[in-house]
Amino acid sequence: MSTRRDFIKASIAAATAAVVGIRPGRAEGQGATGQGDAGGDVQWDAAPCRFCGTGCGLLVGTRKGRVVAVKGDPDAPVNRGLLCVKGYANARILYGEDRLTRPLLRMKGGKFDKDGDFTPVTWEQAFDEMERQFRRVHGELGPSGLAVMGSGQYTILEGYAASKLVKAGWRSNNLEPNARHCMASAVAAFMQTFGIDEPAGCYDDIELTDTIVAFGANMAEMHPMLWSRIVDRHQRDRAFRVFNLTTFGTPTSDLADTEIVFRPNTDLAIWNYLAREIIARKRVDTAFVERHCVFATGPSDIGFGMRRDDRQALPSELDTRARERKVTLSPEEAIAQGKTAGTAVEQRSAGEPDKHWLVSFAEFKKALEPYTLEFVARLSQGDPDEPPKQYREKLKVLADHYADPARKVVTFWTMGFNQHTRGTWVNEQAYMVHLLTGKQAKPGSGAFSLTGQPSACGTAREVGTFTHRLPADMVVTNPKHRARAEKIWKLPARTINPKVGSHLTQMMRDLEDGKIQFLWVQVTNPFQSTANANRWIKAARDKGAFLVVSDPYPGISTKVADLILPSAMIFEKWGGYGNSERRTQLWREQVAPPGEARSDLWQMLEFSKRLKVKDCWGEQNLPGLTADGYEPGKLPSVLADAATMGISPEATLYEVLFATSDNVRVKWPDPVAKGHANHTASGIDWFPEKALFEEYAQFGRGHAHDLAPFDRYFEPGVRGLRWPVVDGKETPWRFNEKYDPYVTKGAGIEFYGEAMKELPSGTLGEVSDPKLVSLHGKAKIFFRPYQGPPECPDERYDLWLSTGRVLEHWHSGTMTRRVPELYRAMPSALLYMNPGDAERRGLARNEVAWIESRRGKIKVVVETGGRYRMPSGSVYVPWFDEGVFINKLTLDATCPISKQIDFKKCAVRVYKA
Amino acid sequence: MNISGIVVSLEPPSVDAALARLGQMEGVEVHQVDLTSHRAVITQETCSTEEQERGLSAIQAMPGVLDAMLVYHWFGDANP
Repeated sequence: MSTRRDFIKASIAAATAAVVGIRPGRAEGQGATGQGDAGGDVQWDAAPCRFCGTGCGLLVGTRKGRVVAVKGDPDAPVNRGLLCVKGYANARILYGEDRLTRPLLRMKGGKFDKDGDFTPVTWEQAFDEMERQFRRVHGELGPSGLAVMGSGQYTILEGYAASKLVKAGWRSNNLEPNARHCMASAVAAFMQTFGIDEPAGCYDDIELTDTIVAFGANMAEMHPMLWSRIVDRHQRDRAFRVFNLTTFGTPTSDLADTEIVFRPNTDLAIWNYLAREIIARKRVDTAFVERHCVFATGPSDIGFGMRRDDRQALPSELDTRARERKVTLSPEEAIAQGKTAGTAVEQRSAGEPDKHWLVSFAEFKKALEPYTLEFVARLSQGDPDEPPKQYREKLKVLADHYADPARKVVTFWTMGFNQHTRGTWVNEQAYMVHLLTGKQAKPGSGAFSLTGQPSACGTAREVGTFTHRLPADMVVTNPKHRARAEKIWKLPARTINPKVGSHLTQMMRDLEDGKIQFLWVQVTNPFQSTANANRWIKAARDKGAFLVVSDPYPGISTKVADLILPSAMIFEKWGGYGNSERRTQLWREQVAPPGEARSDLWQMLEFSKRLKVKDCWGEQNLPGLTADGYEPGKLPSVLADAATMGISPEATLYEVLFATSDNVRVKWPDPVAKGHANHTASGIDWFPEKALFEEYAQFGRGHAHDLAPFDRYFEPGVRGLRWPVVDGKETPWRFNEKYDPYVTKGAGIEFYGEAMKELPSGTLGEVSDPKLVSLHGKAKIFFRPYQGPPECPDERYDLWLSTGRVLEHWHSGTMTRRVPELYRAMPSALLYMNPGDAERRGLARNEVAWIESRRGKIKVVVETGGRYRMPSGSVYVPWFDEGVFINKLTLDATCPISKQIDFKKCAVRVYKA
Repeated sequence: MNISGIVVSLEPPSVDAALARLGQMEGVEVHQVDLTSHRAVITQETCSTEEQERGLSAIQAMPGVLDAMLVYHWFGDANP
């Protein structure tokens, strides 16, 4: 029957061909002897994918020193041989025509000049200028004038080296990953709720659950291979249910049994409705809650992470900025918080937003009282064209599924929750509902925070490349943690700086204020990816700042740099990533980096040879430092203690931090290489990646973050291991005695994380009993109220703007836009808007419009159809396209607890260009 | 109904043999061949996603096939 089926197949074939740029018909080629001849001698090796946080396994095929093929690894438990459209681009991204292969320095008349043109220089010359600038800034401003921006795409080894170089070597805590804008809210909520970071569950939950709730996560595009596993479950099991909660229709909605389109920021109210409903229906798992949980809350007058004053503000922004200091409650906020509408609330707790205390269950229940179905449905309905009754009914069905004790539920979220001015709160609310119903840390049930980057977990979080962190969940403010790090690193006591440095957005503001003047950017493109970007570009170019950018390709950040260092890409170095389910995966170098490009690890090791112990470990000025045992504003000299430990002031940071006597015993070449090369180890006889991995693993072993030995990850049949790996066994579910060796025998479930586990007690509004109560082994169920964002649509800027990624492109597109197939599939970013909204503005599909916020405006092509269905009042513009520079418009407000920017909400207007 | 669109990269010396093998697989249809890049666009029809995964693995393991990538996965009754 030649029918609809044939038509569908022909359509799929055409669409498939279009994605990879194959012309219709049997095209004439150059024959079997042409350049594309791969022959039969392709060598295959396993490695993880370069892109999202899913952590799919690849088989990488090389031939004659070039990666010629990538296939999904059939033995990889994550993706089982399948790959998404970005996955197969892993090899192609290495071979863009404009790869950077030489260091480039802005020069005039043969020497560095901020206004000079980029001129090829040798590595020697590049490091000479870098050293000169480092010494200038270090001399003028001390350690707080220096900063490194890294990312969740750092390999574990690169992140670890950066942490050691910046924190131990430079004694500056100004190291931040772009992951600050990716999952800092998830981290803050994990720490506050469980006292330890990262998910309890694993991807096996998908096959074990019967309900998936995607909430603020467009998984079909952003985690396609996990989504394909969900699709598979949905296909086979009639009782399997999928919900998608979102602010506009996405490809994730296509599969969902129920799509709930809500108004931006009202996710806070929806969670409270669900909790209220669970209590009202008597569906609380009382035994679970009484044994394993406590109730808590914190202040709500915490601001929005903007600058507290009006310095550097444009006149158009003054009204938004004012909300940092004082918020006038809307009628909905008043109901939600049991206050009077129009009350002006001074944001007094902005200095201690993370403070929290215990409350009784009665207080918790009282706080939820206003969140009735009627109130929350009215507040949260996101599509004004949907019948309100239908919307209300959908919320009820969602509550039915969470409340049903016979149902297992997995809630997945990503940037919709994390990029949120109340991101920590909304993460905590997901745990609130899962803990109340006892659906946490059990196979098939759990609130599961997904990450966006390949090693946001493995590097940014586990290594701790945040300003406040040390490896294995330790923090610089805790004297015991500093002492432990100093012991493992064999440093004199008090080498590590106890003051938290600048978070990522603060680094940009410091650059603007001249407080940071030496900035090294690695594996990220912050001048495109940070909100309110106009400001930071100006700051980098106009002031006395020296900006070093290590990158394989030109992008906006390299354009504003003073020195560009050419970096090796994924298969051109040894590396390791950690994915969203705590799976650590290592890989070997497959091919040589092109030209003079070198790994970021090599660059750090080389630069560390330029600095001596005496340069960094003498007494240092550190404005604002106050800590027990430290003179205010000063880091003490540790040179005398160093000398007693046998460390000479003339020793280089390379010798003290990296080429230590322990590390140089780890020899290169090593049998684990199986003939693969290592360009980071060129000219030395030790194996930096393996040595640093084993040194790093000391932090986690015995501390619930155990990694296996380096070589184990390369054994045949091993496709990554989920930590903690104890006695050779990985841990699929944490906090559950059956699977997790860290749980006390007989406890069943135990939330054994140790951070923030001693709290005072109080009422909803304040602490009433300062006596600290120990919560060992328990998780906290937080009450967090509904609040509006700092900027909402009004008469002048009448639309919500959300930004995000698309399936075809990775972040700022510097890699994926160089793959012709991906470029063709999504060449430029579009303005997705509701057809009615477009028509009311006299705009039609494919016409050019201006989109303008209080901070800037750009031109963009209007799309009223396509893959996103925008409700009236909201627009979406992806951020991958530097030609449609949407971050010129976005607002640099953050969650005050996590310091993560909210890229999902600001107000704009759109008009004909 | 479960149909996937797959791009198969072929080893140039054995393009025709590999295409013949693909054509003999149950549910597989070869739609287009680009001899410049040595790639073919095929569709694979199966009853379940599991069968489809097995089929894709079989294609990936086939002699003369360098790589098979799933580009399009269609299921259900909606219009692709």
